Amino acid sequence: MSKQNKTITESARTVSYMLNNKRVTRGVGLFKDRQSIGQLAVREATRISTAFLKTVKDFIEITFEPAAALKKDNAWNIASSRIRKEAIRGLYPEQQIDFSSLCLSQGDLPPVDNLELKVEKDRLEYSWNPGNTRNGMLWNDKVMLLVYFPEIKKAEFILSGANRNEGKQIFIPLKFAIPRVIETYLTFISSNHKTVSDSVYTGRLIW
Amino acid sequence: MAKYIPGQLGRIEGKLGELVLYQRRGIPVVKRRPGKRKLKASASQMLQQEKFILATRFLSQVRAVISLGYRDRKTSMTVQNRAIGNFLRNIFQHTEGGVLMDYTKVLIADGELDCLYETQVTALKGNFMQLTWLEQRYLQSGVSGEDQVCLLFYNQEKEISYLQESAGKRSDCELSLHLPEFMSDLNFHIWVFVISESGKEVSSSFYTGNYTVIR
Repeated sequence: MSKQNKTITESARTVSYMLNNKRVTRGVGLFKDRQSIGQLAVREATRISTAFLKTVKDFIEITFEPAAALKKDNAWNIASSRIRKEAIRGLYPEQQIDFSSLCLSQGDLPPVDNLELKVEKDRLEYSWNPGNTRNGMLWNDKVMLLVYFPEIKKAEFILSGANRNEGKQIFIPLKFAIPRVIETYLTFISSNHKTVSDSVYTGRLIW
Repeated sequence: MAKYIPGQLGRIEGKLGELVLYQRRGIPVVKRRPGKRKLKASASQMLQQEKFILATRFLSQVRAVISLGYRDRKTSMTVQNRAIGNFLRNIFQHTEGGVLMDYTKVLIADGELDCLYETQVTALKGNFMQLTWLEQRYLQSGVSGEDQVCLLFYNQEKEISYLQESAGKRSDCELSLHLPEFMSDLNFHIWVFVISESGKEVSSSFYTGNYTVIR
């Protein structure tokens, strides 16, 4: 999508309009030429990342908002860009998301110390060092947790959990009759939502 | 398809010479009057016609549900056309004797709203049917515990359907239905889906199985 300083126009092949206070121009219409493997691979990566992002939209709209504000873009685009660059693995048409490389938040807040995840029968218990307040960490930073079920493409999350100084948070994901694979993530966000830490991948579990 | 602007005679509908005038989604349109096919249909055309007949017959039985279950997406297609398209693409199995409908693949609702998980149906004596599902503690935006659970019952032999709208709420995690007398001892395919409290959003339907209503 190119940026232009021209007035809003629409021709047969392009359309220009304002997006987030920027003038942008993009192509319109169907792409009829034969597509190269590279183009198909990009489309497949977009399809995979979009399908995933739809399920975690509420989460990433908060966690990528500070980064989006800096880049004058929106949270979806930043998240999509990071997934495609860092977490899509494999060659077309066998591409898939590598959940261990997936980043679900982006910011300057330092990551948490001494993070531990304890798996109980019906719950996940996260704990961390509650006393650490170095480099901008505050006692009232909120923990955010996300659990993703890749087999059924379903995400569950806590957007505003315990304060940092509480040192623990319990999460009770859906418990299916058949054990399911879950991918788990944790991040911290300041109470005013202006700074956020990079997300921490807390592992793949059978739940 | 040509559109026309009604003149002083007002809106015209029906055949007019070689043309047919009708309303499509509130817009007056004109198309050529259909004529008889002169060439014999090929094998693949006959197969497609057979599918179309089955899909249309099923759709006519569940029309009320389709208009609920397919209204979520904003497209230029009518809900009927979207449903027929979905059926033709997904639900038919090719056998030596022709085509068969695979009811497990039928989507009687197609939307973005979060559905119910681990739905289980139990048929109980006295025309009762019990449905349970998992409790969702962490609801996403747009999803509410007040969302309405809907069930569709369809009997293949007698081609009868029964829609139970607002049978319960998402937060209930279980519901019990007392079904009408005419459903006793009959076998029904059952689908479940959810409609938002505002009625604007709908989940995709889930096929729970084939159950007999016990008298």
